[in-house]
Amino acid sequence: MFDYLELWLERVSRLALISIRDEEREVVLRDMKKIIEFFNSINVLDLADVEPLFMVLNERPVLRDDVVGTSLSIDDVLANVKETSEGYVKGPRTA
Amino acid sequence: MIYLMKLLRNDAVELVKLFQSDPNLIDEYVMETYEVIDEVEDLIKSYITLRPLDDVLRDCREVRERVRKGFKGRLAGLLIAVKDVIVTKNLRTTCASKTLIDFLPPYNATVIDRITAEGGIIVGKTNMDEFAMGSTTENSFFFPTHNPWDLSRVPGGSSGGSATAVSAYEATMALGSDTGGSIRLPAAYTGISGLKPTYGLVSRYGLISYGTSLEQIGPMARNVGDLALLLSVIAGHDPRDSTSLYVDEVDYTRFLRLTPIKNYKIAVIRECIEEGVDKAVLTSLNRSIYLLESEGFEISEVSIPAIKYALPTYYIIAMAEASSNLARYDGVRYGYHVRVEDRLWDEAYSEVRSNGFGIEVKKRILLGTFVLSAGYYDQYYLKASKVRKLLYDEFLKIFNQYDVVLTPTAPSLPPKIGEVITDPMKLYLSDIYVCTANLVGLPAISIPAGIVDDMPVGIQLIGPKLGEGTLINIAYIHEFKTGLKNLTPTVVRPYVQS
Repeated sequence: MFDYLELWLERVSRLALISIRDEEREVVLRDMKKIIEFFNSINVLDLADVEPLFMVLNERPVLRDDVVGTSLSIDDVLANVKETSEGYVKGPRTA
Repeated sequence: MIYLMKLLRNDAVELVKLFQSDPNLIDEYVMETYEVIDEVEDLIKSYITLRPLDDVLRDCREVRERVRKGFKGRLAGLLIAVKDVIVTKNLRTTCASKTLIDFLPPYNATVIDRITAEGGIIVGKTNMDEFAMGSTTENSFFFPTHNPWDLSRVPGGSSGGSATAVSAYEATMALGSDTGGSIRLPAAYTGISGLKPTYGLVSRYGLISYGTSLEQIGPMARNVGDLALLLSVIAGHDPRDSTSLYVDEVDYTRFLRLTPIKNYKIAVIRECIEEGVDKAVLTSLNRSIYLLESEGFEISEVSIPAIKYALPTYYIIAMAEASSNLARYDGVRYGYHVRVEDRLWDEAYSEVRSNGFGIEVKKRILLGTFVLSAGYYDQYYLKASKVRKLLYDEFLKIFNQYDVVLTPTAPSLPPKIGEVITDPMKLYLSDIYVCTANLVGLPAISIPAGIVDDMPVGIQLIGPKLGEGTLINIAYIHEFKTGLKNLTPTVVRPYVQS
């Protein structure tokens, strides 16, 4: 896949909404190649009969009681927002 | 000014007792701490945000008045540093990232509420690798932190600022976070103790997420007694964290006993001492093994062949989780922002993320996106999750026979600043012995085991699920036998040497 590394980088950059600047490109590609080779080292293991483990918790999660509590004030929450309109957060266009 | 500090030399428990008998001493202790900060902070750079002395003294006055009225808070009057990945109400929390450069959280993490309820006072927010991604505290947007034992070396990471603040007496204790060794590695590099708790023992509410299934907040201190005290305060169930365990509150200071609670059986993992370990580290580890054996503990070598795959497994899972967790940074609701008026969402978000994140964070998000993407998920993320299961089962088996596992904390002494940061393989290798405990969710502690060429060396003890008491008991005995407590690094010796 390394022949296509540039194309690959373009694809994941689009998915992650992160662009790599021209001056960063060489280092990023070099490091990516090394890290993916390092990841490939687990491919020697035969894991066909092994179940994956995503979380170490065995306990069933218990839901909280559905009681009304105090929540953060709108003013406090909006204090970090740079663009607001009539008490709402202003976001970019979706289309 | 050379001013020999008197109060700072005391352990946390002794300080709290002194403050109970004379609450005015709290101010004196705070002044002493700020004197040390004045002397060493420019050299070390532990803090991203240090609270102004006047603000801290105001909190002091409050605690002092409460103590006068009979308040017996377990941390009453103590100064505690907090890694800048843990949110603090109205106190800037940046994650050492440009992305959160001006973020003022509207609420406290549960651990912060627990600390202040016991009378602890937050002294400041400590430097770290951006979003906890790194092992040297060089990946900070602000500045690198320097090791107080040798300013040309790194303090380890990602909780490097918390480690140096404690090591250099700029705080009495600190909170770090540990996703793949980020408490234990800097603890080892700076000569202090650091503990990653069992997954779910300490609330993650208010911990800015990097690797959700791996990380825990934990205590860092200059001695095991202080560590046990801080752990007792922060551990316990929290309904606001759905991964929080239903456990009773435990006073871990009751494990600070010189007589072992049982005749411990300790396993040393052969693969962790066979190759790639510096002589200095191996010598310190062997001395600890000898010392624990002379206490009557049974020490055996065990083999876990799969452990050599722990490091790539850890990085695949951590990066996958990072790519998902860091998807929230769009600049719209908080942090680094670009004008959104008349702009398309993907263009605006991409600009925020591309300008806000540093290069290491970008690399990890891109690789995490890759290992989760169609066509590669089975080959990387799913496969890594299966290796994780192998390791989990291996550790379960070991703990059927043994009480703890012993390994070095790091394979070498702290590298020089700039030495490993340019090569990801060298950088990631620092985590080789510490990342497994995160994959399997078990508690692990790093404690000092020696000083070689005036640099501290750490060893790691891994315990079974909720085996923090065992770790503290053995660590306490080890600390007493070696005398390796309250170690004072070179840069701060003129002020606090006893």
